[in-house]
Amino acid sequence: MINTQLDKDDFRHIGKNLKAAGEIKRPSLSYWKDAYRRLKKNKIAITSFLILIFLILMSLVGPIITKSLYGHTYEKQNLAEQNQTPIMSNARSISLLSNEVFKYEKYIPNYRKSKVILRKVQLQSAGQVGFKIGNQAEESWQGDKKEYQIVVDIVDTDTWGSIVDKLNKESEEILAKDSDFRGITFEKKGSNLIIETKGVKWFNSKHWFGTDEFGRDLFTRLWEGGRISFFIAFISVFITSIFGIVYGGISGYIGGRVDDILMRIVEILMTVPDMLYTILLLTVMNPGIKPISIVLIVTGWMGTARIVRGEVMRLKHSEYVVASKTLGADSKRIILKHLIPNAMGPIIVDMTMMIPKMIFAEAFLSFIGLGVPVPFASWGVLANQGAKIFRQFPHQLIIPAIAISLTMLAFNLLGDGLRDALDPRLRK
Amino acid sequence: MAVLTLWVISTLTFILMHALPNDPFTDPKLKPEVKQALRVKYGLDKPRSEQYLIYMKNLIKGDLGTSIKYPGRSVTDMIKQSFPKSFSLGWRALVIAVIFGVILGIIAALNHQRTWDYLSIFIAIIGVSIPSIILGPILAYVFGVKLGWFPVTVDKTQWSLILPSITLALSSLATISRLMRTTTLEVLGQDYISTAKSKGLARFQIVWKHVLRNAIMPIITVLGPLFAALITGSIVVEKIFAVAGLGEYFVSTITEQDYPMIMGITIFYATLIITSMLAVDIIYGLIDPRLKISGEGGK
Repeated sequence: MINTQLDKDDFRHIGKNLKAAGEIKRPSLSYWKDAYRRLKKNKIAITSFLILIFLILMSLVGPIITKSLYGHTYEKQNLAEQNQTPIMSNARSISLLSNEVFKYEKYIPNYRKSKVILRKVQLQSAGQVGFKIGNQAEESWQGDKKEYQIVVDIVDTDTWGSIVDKLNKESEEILAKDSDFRGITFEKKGSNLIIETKGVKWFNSKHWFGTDEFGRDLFTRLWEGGRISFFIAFISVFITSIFGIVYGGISGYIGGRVDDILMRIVEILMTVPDMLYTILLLTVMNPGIKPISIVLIVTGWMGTARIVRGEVMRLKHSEYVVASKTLGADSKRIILKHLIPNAMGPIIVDMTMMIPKMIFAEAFLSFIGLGVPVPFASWGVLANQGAKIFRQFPHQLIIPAIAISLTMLAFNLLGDGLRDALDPRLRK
Repeated sequence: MAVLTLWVISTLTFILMHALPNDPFTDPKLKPEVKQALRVKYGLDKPRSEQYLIYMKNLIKGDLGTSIKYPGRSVTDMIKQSFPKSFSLGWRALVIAVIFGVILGIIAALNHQRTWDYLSIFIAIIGVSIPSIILGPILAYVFGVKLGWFPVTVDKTQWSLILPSITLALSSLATISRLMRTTTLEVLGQDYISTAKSKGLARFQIVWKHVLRNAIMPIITVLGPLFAALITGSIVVEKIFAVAGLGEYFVSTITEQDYPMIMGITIFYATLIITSMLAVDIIYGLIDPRLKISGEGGK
């Protein structure tokens, strides 16, 4: 058994170690190291950051990859390869040619019209029913541009079963004669008639994301658009911030009457609805990358100026600035050493949150026709083009839509993470 | 303040429109004499300062000028004709955004850091990240074309207004639910909520009488900017869903370079936004008793 009784002799006095008490055991954490440590723990923010890095990198190298592999550029048109999809299919389209036999309530084609559902069909009378398979106007991307017709005569004694049989038989006959026909199936399910053409699917190895209506490669255009969108967003946020810092800094640091006047101007400008003025300014200038950036800067700096002014006002009266002033530091030293570094946190958060706004604004302007001019491809331009023929070729909208949404999402989440990491007011 | 802002806006608009590189009569087919006659008719031959004075005088009278593209039609008439359609879309979107945003925010805060909370945060983030130019076509395709539940373009039925209203409302809904969540969480931490709980009030009563009333106050302050966002957003949504509202006219007047129309609609929009912001300020002062007390105390 262990002896739990302790004697006084078991203890020994080792004396005071004053030196050790004064020593700093761990390296001191600077503000930035501390913020970085906290940001690292935030998995969502880090993931967003990695996604953004990926998107930016792809914008830089994406167009180079496809150029070196296939020679695609963002403006090269190829009218023989219009509207290709990422997953190609050579199933032909179907349309009604003539119909005396049945009524239907709804005609629902899928986006390539290779599958058509006729809802709530009802037999009406005897006569001819015909379908057109393949449509030259729609099928440029398939290459062979052949058209076929299936026409059958229906008599009074026919039921749905025999009609479907007749149609299927007819299609098999055409297929036996010409294997390019690839086949079609008719099926009656409940009260619906389902018609589907056969075909093979394969990955579009030449145009990874398909092509647009002029046969331009969408992969190249997407990343080229990324370059433009990111460029506009970054440059306008950067200049906006600098202007905002200077304006807000002056206003906050000098204070008094100057502050009153400068902030009144900002207040008036802030009540001006910025989107309206973005539109107006752009109608004055010719649309392009530079005008859009300028307009976004002109209409966007007020928020930053306000934030910086608030920060400077708060910091100006903090103990360490007052202490530094009493010790004889001049304005330059106070501004550069104390005010700017300490106000940087909120400014960075503000910048991060502003980028998705700029990207959105650019997309918005492109959508109403004030975006970058024609051969160029910003994400907004791509989304606008895609929205026009979305029903036939959804990929043309979905791909830029994912890019825009992912970027905005990632910047918002990263901004949230940065705010938690950088904003000292939220520290507990 | 509001008057000053309006003056700044109208002057800015005037300067901007006259800084345009070309005037509306650039059609090469027009003979010079005809051009000159048109300029005289629309007062474009007079010096700038005089044009400005005439323009400001008319503005005060409520006359926004006449369209160049559609001769004989005054801007006011155009606005009167097309604005009701935009308005019917706008107020529906506002109602959707406020009601669902508030409910979502409260549910999230009451279930802090549980499934509902994460769901509402998710919706809020999606709402800010998917712009209406993308959401609109996708909703139109899924619910209009594929499922066939709603008409794709707006006709006279109420039913057809649902998709555009949702498209327009989503980003505002997200903003409101986010703000509502924060303020509700703040209110839930207050002492009077603990008091209410210890009094033995039912959960519903606490939420309805104490939480909602206090947490909803800050929402009123963002209604002004939200209103502005809805108006600019409606420009896009009207184009997607083919609503013949003011937003769509606005876009077409820009491409047609119809000076008086652009100026008129901008000023109309701006006035609308500014008066709504002013109204929000006034309402806020009336509703929140704390402001009244502090205001009186200040004097």
